Amino acid sequence: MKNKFRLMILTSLFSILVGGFSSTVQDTWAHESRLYNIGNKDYWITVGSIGEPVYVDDKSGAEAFIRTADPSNPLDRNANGTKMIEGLEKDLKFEVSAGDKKKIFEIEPAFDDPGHYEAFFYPTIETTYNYRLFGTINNVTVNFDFQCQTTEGEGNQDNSTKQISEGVVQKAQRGGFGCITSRTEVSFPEPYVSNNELVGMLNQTKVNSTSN
Amino acid sequence: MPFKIKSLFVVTTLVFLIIIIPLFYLPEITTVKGHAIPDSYTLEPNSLHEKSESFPSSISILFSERPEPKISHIHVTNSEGERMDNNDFKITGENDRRGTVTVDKNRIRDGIYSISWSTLSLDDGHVAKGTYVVGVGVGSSLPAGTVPKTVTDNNIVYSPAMAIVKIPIVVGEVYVLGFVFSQLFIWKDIPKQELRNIIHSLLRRRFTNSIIVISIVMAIAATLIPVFQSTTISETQSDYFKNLVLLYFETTNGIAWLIRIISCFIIAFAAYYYGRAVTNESNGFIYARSRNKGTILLFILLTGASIFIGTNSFTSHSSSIASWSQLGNIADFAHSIVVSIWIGGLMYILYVLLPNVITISNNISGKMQQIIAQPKSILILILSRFSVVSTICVGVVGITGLFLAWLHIQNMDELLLSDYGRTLIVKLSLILPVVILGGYHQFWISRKLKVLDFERVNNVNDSSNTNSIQRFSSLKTSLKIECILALGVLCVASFLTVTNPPTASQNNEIVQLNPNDDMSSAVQDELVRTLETQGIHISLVISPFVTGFNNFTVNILGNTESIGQFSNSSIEFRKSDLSLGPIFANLAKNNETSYSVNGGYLSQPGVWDIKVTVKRPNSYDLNYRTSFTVNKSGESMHDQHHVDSPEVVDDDNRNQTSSLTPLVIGLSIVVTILSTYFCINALKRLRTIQQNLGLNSHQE
Repeated sequence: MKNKFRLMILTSLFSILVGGFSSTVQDTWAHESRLYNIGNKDYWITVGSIGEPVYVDDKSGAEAFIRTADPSNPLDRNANGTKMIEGLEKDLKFEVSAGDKKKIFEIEPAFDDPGHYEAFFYPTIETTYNYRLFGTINNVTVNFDFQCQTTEGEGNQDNSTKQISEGVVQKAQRGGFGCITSRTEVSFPEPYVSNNELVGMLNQTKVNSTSN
Repeated sequence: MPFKIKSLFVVTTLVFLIIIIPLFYLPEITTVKGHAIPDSYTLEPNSLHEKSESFPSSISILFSERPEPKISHIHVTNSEGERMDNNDFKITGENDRRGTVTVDKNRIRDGIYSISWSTLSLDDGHVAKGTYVVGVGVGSSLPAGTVPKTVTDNNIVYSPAMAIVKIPIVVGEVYVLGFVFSQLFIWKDIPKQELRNIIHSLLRRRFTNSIIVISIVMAIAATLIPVFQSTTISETQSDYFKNLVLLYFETTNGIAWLIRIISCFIIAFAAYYYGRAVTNESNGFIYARSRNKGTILLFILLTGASIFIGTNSFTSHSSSIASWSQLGNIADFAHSIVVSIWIGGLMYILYVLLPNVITISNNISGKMQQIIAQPKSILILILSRFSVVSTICVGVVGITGLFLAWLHIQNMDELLLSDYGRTLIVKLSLILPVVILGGYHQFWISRKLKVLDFERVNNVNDSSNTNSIQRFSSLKTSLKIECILALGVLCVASFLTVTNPPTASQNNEIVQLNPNDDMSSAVQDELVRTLETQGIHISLVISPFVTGFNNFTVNILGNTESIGQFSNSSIEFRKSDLSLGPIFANLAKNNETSYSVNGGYLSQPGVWDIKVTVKRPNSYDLNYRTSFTVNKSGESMHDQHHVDSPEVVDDDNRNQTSSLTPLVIGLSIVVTILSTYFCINALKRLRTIQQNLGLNSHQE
């Protein structure tokens, strides 16, 4: 009886620990955060896709959360001393690329969420997306590349320092964000056919009817 | 008239009946096995034992073929490389396919143990070896850093060196048989025995010398085979010599080697004595006694060459087929004999006849009608005879080749993706121009026949032998090209003999397939599946295809120049019941179009969904999805008990097999019709030539 009680306590503790760890991983997972020193000031820039997990043809886009780091604890992006930066929508843009296609999107400040910027688009194909955030922060030209990850995991955990460009130094990196995936696995009851696939099928039908 | 159309029909029909018709009545092939590789284990790969007491006192492996007990072994070694077995490997039953070794249990401690096996198949003489790992007292998983990267490793030993050694054997047997056959039959019915004797005498030098040299080369090559085999199976130098002696004198391989050596000696001595028998003994003529002796010696040569070919055919891949092995061997033997008559005959014309045609013409002028005594007439006559033989040969080679391909390759996937299939494609690609050149020579003969007919009717006498021969320079060139291509075919055939057929590397257990896949094949120890997206095909290979540690390989198919570059590849695993996953694996790059990873991702039996992603710079990713059912290793062992039972045919296997059967039968019928058509034309042409030249078999 005593053993059973001990086992129950241990199982509960284990579940709580695993659960807590899992939620942390999930939190880390959704976006990629990097600590930059831009013009002698530390910034946490977090980038990912809007509304993850994102499926093909969903309304989504690229989003960025920009805040200054806590001077007392710069490596913790959630420390109390961080401060969200507003008004960067005029200075920054997103260039989204997939395959050999590229498109520049204006960013807009999210409603009632200071320091949060969004660039909406509809992803039409399942592939690797690159988000290039470029413009000026703290009067320094910046150019940051973020790429979605097709494989999950613990994401990036990097505290090494590297010079990115003049006046810009990367000091840390955390997590990653997932790529846009097909709706195939989550469509029900009929399999989902994406708009792009439909276009392909129509083109094929056109080719077949022409050749006949 | 030596060739009768009616007889030809009878022969063709008989060949058709013997080779093609049985296909209609063959029960579907249920099990096709290859080299002696493990079908099942009593101690499973990757298995873990909590205590050393639970470690078995003996370990046995059920192999797909009968291992040679004197050469084959199972070794159990600990992590320090010390042997834990009692070195008492023996065959313990199950049609002599189960090998067992006992273990010194007193020495078993906690740790990792490697079980390595090596076999020499009694069925086809091929060597195979592999290793797998088990753990004792290491809890639920093997200790980090102690598990080898490749936990299970079943390697069919593919040796290009062995293929190179086999080239003189394959080329030699074709050379000898083709030469002897041509010497025996192609001059038949030349009027007057005296003239035939002169011709044989003139051809003697090149004929006998080349056969003697080739037979010596064949004997050396046959002797080298066990040397290479011993290198493969031996771990130490002392083992090497011990195994070499065993291979030569105490195994079935040794018997095959002995037969080959004896055959080579018979060939060499018969060729030597034949040379002596047909030597001019007085004024270019030979005695009647020597003539009969010469014919007998030629038949001895023919028998020796056929026995040599038989040793190859009866230890071929067909030997390892569980069903229809004998029919496969016979087809292989017929294929080799007929190829030898065809290609060897071609070599005979090029190497023996053409250089001597003027000499022959000079020697027989005055002894025959003037028109036949001309070099061009002799050439056209012999080429016409050979074209009749070659058209029959092409037909038989086509039919037997298709049948053998059908035996070893059961679907298009195997043809396109396996090494054996690809080598076969190379062989067929070389055969095609050979056949086309053969067709060209048929038209060449017809054209020359018209010229000859015109000269005969108009009584034109082109007495200049040199001018006549100059006209044949183009023929000589095209014959040379044909011979070189044919030699290329034989070289590729040598590689084919040491390449494991796809059916041989599989254990025939077809697992549940995804019906949405266009092309897919799955077998118990390896899954090969072709997937397509955006018009780009990849093959996914999972080996072994059971739960545990597996090698996952992604090969991008097609021309990389048109597809573009690839940066990396990854696989996402997910149990269909969502009880496990997603599990992600990044694949390491093997080369520009191949990625692989080893790991225990398929940890549980059941249906798994897999997504393969191949990334390309500046292009969209390629995302492939597929599903399959994976079984436990133990289940595969259970299933293997049914391997030899025809009643447990898997429906998918049946469908896949039957899908190729109509194609093979259809192609065989086409080959038969074409071969018969061209043969009839060749016969008609030969009849016309013989009439024009005033030849008939009754002149003598």
